[in-house]
Amino acid sequence: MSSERHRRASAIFLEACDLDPPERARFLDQACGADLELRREVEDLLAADADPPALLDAGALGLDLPGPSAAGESEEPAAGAGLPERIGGYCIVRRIGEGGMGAVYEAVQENPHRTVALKVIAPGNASAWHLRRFEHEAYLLGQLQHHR
Amino acid sequence: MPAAAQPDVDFLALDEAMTRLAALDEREARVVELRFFGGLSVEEIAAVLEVSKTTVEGDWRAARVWLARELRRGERS
Repeated sequence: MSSERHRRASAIFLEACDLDPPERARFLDQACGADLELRREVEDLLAADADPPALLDAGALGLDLPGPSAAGESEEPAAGAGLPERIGGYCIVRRIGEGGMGAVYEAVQENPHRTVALKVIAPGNASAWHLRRFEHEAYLLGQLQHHR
Repeated sequence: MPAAAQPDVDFLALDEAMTRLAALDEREARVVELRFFGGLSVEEIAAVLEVSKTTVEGDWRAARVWLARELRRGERS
């Protein structure tokens, strides 16, 4: 699906998701017309919306993570093993997850003091595109602090 | 409270889905990054991206179901 079609599907989904079923069907007929692929995509999104994903419900991941004592210790038997103590201005608490790209840590940022999820890309996996995205993000976050 | 159990998240799959989303819609992906990974509020994200709160809320809702759908597809295959 192209970027333009994704945006159309998102826009139609957002209009449709708060409508009652009969109204929704009429709206989808009109908005998607004979474009069955678009209709399928929107209906797929509506189905996913009806069965809300627990994963992203927490909003800010870092704010809703259970503490090390609350989490199942069995998952991470050696929480301290191979764990960096610090990365930049972040104090590493534990590893939340790991994949081919790198790892995600629960960390405490010093200033402002808050718990965050820190994504670390393994060396060699950081493509130029990824690095650009990260730089852009750092720039935007810097802008935000500037606004305050 | 959602914190009762840590969701079983496949972070690699999430990261890959986020990469695909960024290719389709950069702004939706940025909203998810700032909110989910960065912990920013809707107001803060609206200020950073220079869009309205309504836009941020719409992007968040649309991106969230899109990601959920992608992750479920991954589980099935």
